[in-house]
Amino acid sequence: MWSWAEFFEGMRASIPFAIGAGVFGVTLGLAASQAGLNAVEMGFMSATVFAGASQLVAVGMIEQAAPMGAIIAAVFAVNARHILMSATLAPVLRNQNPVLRVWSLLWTVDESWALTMARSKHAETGAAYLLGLGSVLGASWMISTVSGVHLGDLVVSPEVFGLDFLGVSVFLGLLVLLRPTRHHIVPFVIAAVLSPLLATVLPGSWSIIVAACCGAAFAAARA
Amino acid sequence: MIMELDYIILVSGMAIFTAFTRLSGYWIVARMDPGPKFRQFLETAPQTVFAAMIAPALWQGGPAEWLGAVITVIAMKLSGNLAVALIAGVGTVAVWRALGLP
Repeated sequence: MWSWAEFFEGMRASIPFAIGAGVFGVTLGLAASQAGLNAVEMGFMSATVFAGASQLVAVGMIEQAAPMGAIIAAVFAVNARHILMSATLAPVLRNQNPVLRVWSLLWTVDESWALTMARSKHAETGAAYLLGLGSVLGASWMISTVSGVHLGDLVVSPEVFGLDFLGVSVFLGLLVLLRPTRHHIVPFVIAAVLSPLLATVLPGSWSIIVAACCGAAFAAARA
Repeated sequence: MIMELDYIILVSGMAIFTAFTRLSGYWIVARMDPGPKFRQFLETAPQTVFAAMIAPALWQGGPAEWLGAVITVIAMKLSGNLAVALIAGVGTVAVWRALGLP
């Protein structure tokens, strides 16, 4: 089941994404330093959570001295999409040994999920590919987030460099990678319209989850 | 080591809940066969999450962010390389702001 060739193919395929994640990671480190976190604290979070968007949300809430329960709930809400991602990985991982399966699921991020799904449409793909991607992305994430904290004092205003736009850019790029068809247009519009509207009434990031579920439910109803 | 106990508890909580999201979807699907509707929901939801995360920033943003978004998509379609798309998109926003455009 395990194929080193596939593992190395995953490592190679991840390089452009690892650079993107690295830039995002440096941004997160900068934000963390502004929130008063040190490099050890940042590294601990990156190694155990390893989920960029949710870490950015958490750092913002730490800066505002939000209660612990609210931060954990927001992180869960942002990461709830992993439930759906790991579910779609089931056909890829079903025949792997359980330890490898759990280990590769724990290292799954948006980028490695998207690349694995894309590859599995035209080639036999297993945990080796997913882990190959995750290993490079994880290393890039650790190095960049910790470096970002150290760089913290050097970049005074990230907005000048457009770095506040980085999160939007990452998610747009991932959407294009997944090659949406015209069947996706209406669900996307539903999510994109509901999300900002619901944000005015729902706390934390629940507006994102609810809006996304409404869009996906529309797609499901049509299936 | 310079970490407060509160911080260790906070990050451990974040890590446990995040690990749960990464494992639970597999466990659910491995124990039952999702029908076509549920499968369609699972396939579409991560993408609608991305759409829902992008939308507020574009609603609140101005021409710089809108152009940056268009450039990101075009660069990604042409290059298939996320790093290129990010540099093009973020660079567009930075240049637009540096020029002092609206």
